[in-house]
Amino acid sequence: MGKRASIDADGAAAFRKRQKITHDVPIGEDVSSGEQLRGLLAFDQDMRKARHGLQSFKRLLDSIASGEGDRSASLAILREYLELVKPRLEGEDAVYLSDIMEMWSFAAQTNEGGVMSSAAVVLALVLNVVSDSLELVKHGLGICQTLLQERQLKSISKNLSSDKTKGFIISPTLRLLREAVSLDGGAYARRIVRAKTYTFASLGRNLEIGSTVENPEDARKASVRTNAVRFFLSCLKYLHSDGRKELLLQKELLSHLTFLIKSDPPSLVVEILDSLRTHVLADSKISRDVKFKCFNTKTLMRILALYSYSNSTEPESEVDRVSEKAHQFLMYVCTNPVAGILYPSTGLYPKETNEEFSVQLAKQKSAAHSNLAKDDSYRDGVPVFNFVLSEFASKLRPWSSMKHSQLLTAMFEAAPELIANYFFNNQSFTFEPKLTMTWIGYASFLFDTMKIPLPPSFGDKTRFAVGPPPTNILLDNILPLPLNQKVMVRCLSPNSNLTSFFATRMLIEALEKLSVAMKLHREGFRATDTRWAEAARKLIDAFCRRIPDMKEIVRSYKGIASENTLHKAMASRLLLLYYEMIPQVALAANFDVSPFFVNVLRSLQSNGSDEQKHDGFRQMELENLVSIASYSPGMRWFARIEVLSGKGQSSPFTTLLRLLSSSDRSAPLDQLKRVLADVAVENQLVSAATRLNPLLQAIALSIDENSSEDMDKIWSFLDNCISRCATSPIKYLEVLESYLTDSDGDVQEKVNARSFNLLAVAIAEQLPYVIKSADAPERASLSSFISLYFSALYKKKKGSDALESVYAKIEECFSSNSVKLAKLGSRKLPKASRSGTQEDEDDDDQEEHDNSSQQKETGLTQEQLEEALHIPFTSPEDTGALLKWHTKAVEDLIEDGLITNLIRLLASEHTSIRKEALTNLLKMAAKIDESSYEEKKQVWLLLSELAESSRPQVDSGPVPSAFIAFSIHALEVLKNPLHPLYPKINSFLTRSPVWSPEKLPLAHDILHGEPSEDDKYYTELAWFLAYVLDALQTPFDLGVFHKKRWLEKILALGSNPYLRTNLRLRVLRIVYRATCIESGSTTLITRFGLLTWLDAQRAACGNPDEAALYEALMSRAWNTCDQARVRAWSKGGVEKLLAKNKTKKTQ
Amino acid sequence: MPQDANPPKPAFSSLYLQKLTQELAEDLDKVRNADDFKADSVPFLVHALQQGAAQFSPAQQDAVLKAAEGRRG
Repeated sequence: MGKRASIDADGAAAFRKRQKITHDVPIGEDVSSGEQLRGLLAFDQDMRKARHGLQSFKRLLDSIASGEGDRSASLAILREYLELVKPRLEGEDAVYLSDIMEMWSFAAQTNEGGVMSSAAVVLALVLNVVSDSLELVKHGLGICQTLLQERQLKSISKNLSSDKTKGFIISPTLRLLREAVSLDGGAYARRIVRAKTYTFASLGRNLEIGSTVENPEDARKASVRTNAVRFFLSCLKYLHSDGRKELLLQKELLSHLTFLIKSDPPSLVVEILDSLRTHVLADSKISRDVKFKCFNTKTLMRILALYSYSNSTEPESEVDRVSEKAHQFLMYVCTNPVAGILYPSTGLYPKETNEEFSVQLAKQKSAAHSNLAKDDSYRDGVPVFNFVLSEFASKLRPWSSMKHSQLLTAMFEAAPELIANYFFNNQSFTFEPKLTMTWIGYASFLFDTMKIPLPPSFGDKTRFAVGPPPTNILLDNILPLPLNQKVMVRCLSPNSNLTSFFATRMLIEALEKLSVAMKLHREGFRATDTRWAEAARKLIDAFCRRIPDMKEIVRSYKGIASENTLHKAMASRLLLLYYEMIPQVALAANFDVSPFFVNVLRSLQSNGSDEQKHDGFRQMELENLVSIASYSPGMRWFARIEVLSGKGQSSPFTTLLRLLSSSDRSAPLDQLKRVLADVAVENQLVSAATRLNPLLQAIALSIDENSSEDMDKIWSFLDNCISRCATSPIKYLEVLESYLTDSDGDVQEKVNARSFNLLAVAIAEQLPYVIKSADAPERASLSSFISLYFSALYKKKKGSDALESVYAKIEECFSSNSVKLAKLGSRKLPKASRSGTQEDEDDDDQEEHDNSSQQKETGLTQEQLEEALHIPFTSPEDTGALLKWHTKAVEDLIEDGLITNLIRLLASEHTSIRKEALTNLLKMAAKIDESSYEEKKQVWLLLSELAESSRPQVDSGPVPSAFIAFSIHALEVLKNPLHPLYPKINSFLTRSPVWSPEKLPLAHDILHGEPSEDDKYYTELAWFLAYVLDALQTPFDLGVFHKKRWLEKILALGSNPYLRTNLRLRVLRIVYRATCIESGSTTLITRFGLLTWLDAQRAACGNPDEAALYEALMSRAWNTCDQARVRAWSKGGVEKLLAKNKTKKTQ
Repeated sequence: MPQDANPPKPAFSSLYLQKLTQELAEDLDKVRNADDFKADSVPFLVHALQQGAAQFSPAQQDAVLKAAEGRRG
């Protein structure tokens, strides 16, 4: 509309309005019939009459709407009137309520504001009233259709575009439109929106004619904005997705909608937010780009501003509701992908800036080192998919508002890519410790951020399969950037408990998250991938650089007052995590845990207040310290110290044992129990099979039976025995041996008896001394305890002669002092005694069950055997080596293993590759010879001999594995002149220009020659066995081994009783390898008597685990051999041997 | 805020909060007197203190609660 016209109209209207206000406000009259109403509303150019009629109609409609008076009578009048004025012909051009429409149009043309307003008011009311009545709705629909005719549309447009001071005209018009849109389930919504040139006239402006914060809206009289908003929301509601989309794309409409939202009344704000959420965001048919365009950072910020919404006239609960609603709304927008703002992202793998480039990059990544260089580049910024959220995030103030913090962490969780990005972009806010709410708020936000779990596969399965995420980004997810070493050290300062507690808590969170990340690095295929291993190492290094040194943690721990048990428990947990996760940092600090440990023990043991004794956090601290102690090599478990003054000395071990079984302890101390049992087994006090269970069981029952004074005697006796055992185990081992020789059991029996424990022996040995100094009740309690303990042991392994003979000795000692001792095994041990809880019992039973069931099958399953002995055949060939080596310096060639790769190609199945490899080897030899490398002559000689020896072979098939294995292993020796085999290899190389394919190079010199240095025999052997394992790959190799009797010699080596386990294992690996090769097992069994050899080894070895290994290897050999042939060869002897073993096991 | 799969038990949370406020009483007084401490900071402060309760495993929570019961009994 032209500006000039508007001013004119305004002036004229103002003049008239004044007149009316002073002289004449038409109030209308009561209407008693439809006929009367028609008369009143008949078109008249006299606007006063027109208003009178409209006003009378309004009175009638008001009375219907409000339900005052006789509603049905009024409704009947309305019905009568509507029927009277109904157009005769129905159709698009039919005009309903033609008088009113005409009046309105005339008023609009003459700028008669009063009638313009009244007409809209009346029409809105009519639509409102008829929408409730099924029979009248058709009139309503007719009116809607009439409104869409051009004359009426013009009137609507004129009304809407009235001067903005004329709310009395604009508001009813908007109400009328709203009624029309909503009528009959939005039947006309689409058409009304289509006519937007008229119906949406000045909507943008009207959306902004509202009340202000200073001048809030009158609840009874809705502002123009309120009406405009409701109209707009109704349109959204009743349109289909396409219509909504069209509506949303209207220029700036959404901006107008949200511009004044902060000063809207609460109910309207809630209405807007609800409607936008339900009809726009949750509508999955509205495409993402439309939503994305509407909800830009500006819109989001306006909604965010509602967090601090205030309204002086509304009750507080309403105001709170608004901020809560806004929070829910933003949470929805920012974390729900349907809402269209949150983009799917790739977690900790940053967005790749250029797709084409990234494909290139992925290709390069398959080469080992290339992606590592890229790693540090994210220090210039972290590209993200969710740039809108990133921008929005930077506007939030998570340190000062809990809702902001909640929103931001929720966004982080939904799009983990934002974490590193956020902290990178917002580095100005530091974490310098201050005792303010802001610092606490920031700490809380950071903690919540750290609590967000790492996404599975680090957020992108595809790239996860290719390689690890960038270290920096992963690190920022584990330990956000503001938490740097300097700041953390300051937080840990003893000046403030609060900052130090918060920092401790965060570091714990970080270390625990680090352990999850490490697990992801080391699981599955990644366990053997060098890139993942490298990334894991880099992550740990970077992490260690970012966290405070161990000594700071120790200092902080020391500074905590002893009554602050929660803080101490957390600090000790942090110390423990340092030991577990980053031992390199922890051990460097030389932290001696024992004094602290004693302090805690004292406070738990003292007769102090109940509160001290029953503090779960203190127990937790103790458990942590005990675990730390188990990591500290210097911990003296058995040194006697005075834990409690006046109570005598005892070792930390016994004191802990006492704590573990003390009767008033209600909470289980599993961690403590585990560590103590480990220590006891390590020191050979008890066997690994039973651990501490029999002892704890006996102690628990004794506590029930005896008075505390008598118990003290038992404790001191036990402490004495334990300390003696631990300090001089050899002595007791000898005593144990003597018991074992007494009982003439066979070898198997002895093996079993080895798990029989030293503590029992020590008890028997010490008993005579203690019994002399004990009085009668003490003797009785000792007898009771010992019988309980032995019964518990007896129950675990029945029929051990040694145990019985030890017990006999004890019995003898007691009877000579006229004390009764219950018979072995006669003491009843309740299934669930109090200290040995049900769980322990279950554990024990489980253990027994497991053991027996395992033995019944085979001591070791074939999978376990494979795991123990199988070394995979050499890795697949890397033909890249053929080209790569040319560009490398000689030193790199030798150090990097490119030579090795090239040599391995000689074993390729393709003739062309073998030939290429041969040529390249010769070229390489020449290149090395020309270089300045120190050991060049030897390497040249080695390669030349290899090439010459291989030359006749390459055409016919793969070169013998022995050549390849020897060259690779010899190369390692040549690199290191201090290696004991250096002289032997050099003299071998100078001996002859070619090697025989029927021989194993150098094998003779090692096995039959003198060792180059006296004490290096086993070192040479270790090298030899590794080389031989590598040399055994194909049936051809097996033939060489067989013909030259190398297998026999290797088995003979294995029979050496002084061979270390490590070397013995290497021998077994070679045997295992041979069983993997075709006809290997048959050859081994029929030519070298493998099964009897294994059986003999099994019988001779003392270690049950090792015995199981031999057994498993026996069954593997049997399973993989040509059974018919072996059966014939042995005349059924082999099967008998295997059957014999089986029955022995089941016994 | 990360939704914990296993939120801490309410009894443990309140015990944790109680113990922590006791241990940090002195510093908390200073925070309360800081300029930026407003009436509506209280819920945030409580959240900040209490959030660490989630660092304890259910077994640890039970152990602490059980020990506390022992104290009362």
